[in-house]
Amino acid sequence: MLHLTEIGHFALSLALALAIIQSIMLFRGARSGDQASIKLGWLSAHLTFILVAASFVILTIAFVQSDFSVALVAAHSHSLKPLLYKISGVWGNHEGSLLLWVLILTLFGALMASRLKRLTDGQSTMSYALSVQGMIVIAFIGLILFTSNPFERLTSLPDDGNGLNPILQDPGLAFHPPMLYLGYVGLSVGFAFAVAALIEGRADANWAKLARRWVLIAWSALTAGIALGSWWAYYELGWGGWWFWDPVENASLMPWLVATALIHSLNVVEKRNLFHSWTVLMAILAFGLSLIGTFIVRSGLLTSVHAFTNDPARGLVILVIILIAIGVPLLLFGWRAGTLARDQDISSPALLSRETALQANNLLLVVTSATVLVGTLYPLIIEAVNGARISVGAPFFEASVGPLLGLMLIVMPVAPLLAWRQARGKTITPYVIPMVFVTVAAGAIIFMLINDISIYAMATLGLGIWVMTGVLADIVAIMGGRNKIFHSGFKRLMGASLPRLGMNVAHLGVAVFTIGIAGVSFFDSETITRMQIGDSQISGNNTFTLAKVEPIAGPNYTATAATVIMTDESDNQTILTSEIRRFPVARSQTTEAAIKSGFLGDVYVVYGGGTAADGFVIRIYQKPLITWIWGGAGLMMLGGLLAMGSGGSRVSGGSRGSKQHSDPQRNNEPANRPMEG
Amino acid sequence: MKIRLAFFVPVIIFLLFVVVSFWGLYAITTGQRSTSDIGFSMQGQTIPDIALASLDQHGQINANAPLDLADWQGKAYAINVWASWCPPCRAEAPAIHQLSKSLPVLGINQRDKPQDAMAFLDQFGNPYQQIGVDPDGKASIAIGVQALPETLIIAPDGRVILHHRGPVFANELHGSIRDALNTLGIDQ
Amino acid sequence: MTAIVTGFRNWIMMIMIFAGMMMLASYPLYSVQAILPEEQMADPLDESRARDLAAELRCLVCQNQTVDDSDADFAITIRSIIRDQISTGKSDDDILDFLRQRYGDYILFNPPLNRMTFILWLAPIILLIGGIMLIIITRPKNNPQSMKERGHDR
Repeated sequence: MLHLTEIGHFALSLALALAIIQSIMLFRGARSGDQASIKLGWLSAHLTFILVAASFVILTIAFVQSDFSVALVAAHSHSLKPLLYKISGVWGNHEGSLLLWVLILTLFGALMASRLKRLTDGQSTMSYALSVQGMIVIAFIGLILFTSNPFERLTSLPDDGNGLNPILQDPGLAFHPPMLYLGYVGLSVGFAFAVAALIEGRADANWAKLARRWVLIAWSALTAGIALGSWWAYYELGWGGWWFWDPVENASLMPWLVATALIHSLNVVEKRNLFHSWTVLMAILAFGLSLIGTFIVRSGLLTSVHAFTNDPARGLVILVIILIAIGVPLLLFGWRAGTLARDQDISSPALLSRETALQANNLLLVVTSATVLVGTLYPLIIEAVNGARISVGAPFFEASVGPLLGLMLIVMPVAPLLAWRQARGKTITPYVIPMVFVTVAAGAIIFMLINDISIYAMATLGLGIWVMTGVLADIVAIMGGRNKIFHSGFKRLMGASLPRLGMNVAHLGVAVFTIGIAGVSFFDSETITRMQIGDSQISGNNTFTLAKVEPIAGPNYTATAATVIMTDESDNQTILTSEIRRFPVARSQTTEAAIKSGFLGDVYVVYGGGTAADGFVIRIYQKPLITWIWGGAGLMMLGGLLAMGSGGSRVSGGSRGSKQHSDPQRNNEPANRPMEG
Repeated sequence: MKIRLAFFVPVIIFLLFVVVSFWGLYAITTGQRSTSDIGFSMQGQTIPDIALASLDQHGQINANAPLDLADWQGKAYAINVWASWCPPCRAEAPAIHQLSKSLPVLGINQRDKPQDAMAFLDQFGNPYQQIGVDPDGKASIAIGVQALPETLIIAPDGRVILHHRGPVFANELHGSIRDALNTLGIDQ
Repeated sequence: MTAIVTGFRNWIMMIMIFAGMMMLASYPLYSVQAILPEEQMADPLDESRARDLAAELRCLVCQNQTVDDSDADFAITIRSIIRDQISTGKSDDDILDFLRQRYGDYILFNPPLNRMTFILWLAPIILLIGGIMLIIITRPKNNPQSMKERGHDR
């Protein structure tokens, strides 16, 4: 045991050395085409991953075996912890999570190296990218080894560990960091490709094809990670909130927004050979925002309930890493962005075209991300300027992000219907008119059915429905349009390209998500009451009866459990048990809510303590359509994964006036005529 | 190859972010700011007029002889907000005694039980001229107190000369409190 | 390419299925009970005013929670004060001013509109216009001179 931990530490140092070799060799290989260098770089990338993986496994063993001579284990684990949480405790702290970060980073590096081996075209691009990846590995292993070593030993062995925080012992929370880091770290691959593009002076369709799948995987993982984190907060924290505009949550939202813009921009590069500089910039910014997120969580710069650690010294080191890792590429961008445009298509798309719509979409997404950044950092800026302390919270973010994303949602369903270069009204109106009609009709029905509906609720619901009609319209278009839909339309749907299907699934997810937000934000209810055993309370269409309140015992806690029986209109009964758990060793307590989830929303019951004499506090929340929030996010993730399939691009290197054949039903569109001039 | 200034906008904005963050970290490490400090105090403001039921030396709550700040207009005095269950309040007890030698100290006993408060005073001594009880914390909020313990020094005209959050120790006695007393023309 | 992507995808999907639920780590513990039944005011309109006001205020002894959400003593007392003042007929502004005088603007979750925060509220619009301008400025010009510079000699 004494030696294993040191081996883990040593493995990390070795990995650092190999990462240096990886970067240098691949850079040289990319410049000169020398296969030997590239091979050595390829080998280094794989070895780096193996070493980091070994290091990670060793740390895990230390946690699982409760080796309290390792300082990290003593601080964050405990012999009584269930096995699952001993393992997840590895990454439930600053040092261990950094090691997880590097593990995923090197994993992506190894995958990139495998891809490199199979490449016939674009070897130099991939080599540069993998070299840049290696540099990020160097920075982070350096950060770990010099400031946040997980393998430090304690001089005296404690009796037991310190880490029995019950809130961290939750299956949801246990697996959160891996998913989120897949997203954050995955964006580093897009970043690496962007820097490669700047070095080579070329970010054309072939480059976009290389980069696309990596970005999609990262985006999908990030979507899932954020959504699942939100879900965890919802069911664990006991009052049903699901997003708090906390600095660390914002730190995950910002790269997500830019990554979404990046995906769309990559599509334009691939299909129309435009937006080269914008795409490269966004790839740099997406990862930059990931890094800034890491920085915020660990530096103590901003108050947050999520902060891993509040160590300004470490924060300083991370900030220096960010300065170099992002500052240098951005400088390079300033210098080389003009060159990127050299092999762009020379045509200027018309104002009414898919290019313009996508550019508007990307602009709105990036501006939203920038707004969130400004809002998150504003207290800091004001303090720097005149020392005053102000607070920026949900009211600001909702008021600013809402309209911005709302604008985007208006454009979103129309964009797939617009042709490239120049859209003709004649072609889109057969789709748009029914879309508008359906949306307005649905809105009118809702308005009539629901009394006193607020304008914000109407707007949000309307947007969700509008986006949904757009998805339907594109499905109809895939199937052949109004004229041909019944002539083997279904066959066309089955044979449609995966990216296009993925787009529609993801957009459907957005619609579902939006409607879910409308439901839970504007139509929810909260009933707080004191009940005696046997009392009943009505909320919504259900009756809630307090059946019993009794003490129970769990593996490392004692609890008081209140059982409430919910009876709905058809006399179906559901048993809901909410607990207040007390953890003697950790001297803390948690509240576990009882949630009945359904397609139309959740019923959320929370026991709030009390006595038989005074009565027991029971809180009943109705949360309509909240399941649509997670469902929508799940669809988005699914769409992203589907879009990784092939079948999209027909472009191969700098094209001018090429025809687009991916949409057979657009034969009558003028865009398909070869360009004059 | 054309180099256009517009392409350097991202790096400039990025550098601004880095500068602000550097400042923020620097300020934390040099103690100029802490994330728990709300950066606002009652210093410079006029103390609001509050009246509380008083706790007499027998541990009885007396609503008829209240602690009324209006009675203290025209005199310099200190307010110390404390509770028996508050560990830093015990730690600062000697310093509060020292302070009471310079000017009268009024105690506000927050969210406490009279018997516990009396036990505290028996153990650590009673430095207070008068004690008011604030069982629900509202009076504390009325004078801008956020946590426990906090000490305010008020000038004869009602202005708050010093608002110190947290326990008072020798540091403060020889520092901010001495300065405040000097402003009032009081010798320590 | 398809081979590695399929393998990759399967792997990712396995992780995602296995992953279940996730969250950012290290929540400091706070049990949330917040509003108790007896705190509530009799008149639902007053109560709803009280809740809205509480949701606009920051709990100063907590990290990033509103007074409505927190069950720190401080938050409970502020909620009580809000309800007291509503009962005596004070307006929302009166109540917010009362608290701002004692705790500064930091107690507001909604940054007030004053000289300092003007820029914050304008930020979205400024950013939007700035973005549009950047797009227009950096459009590749399609006149013969600049096309030649970019290598499109015809």
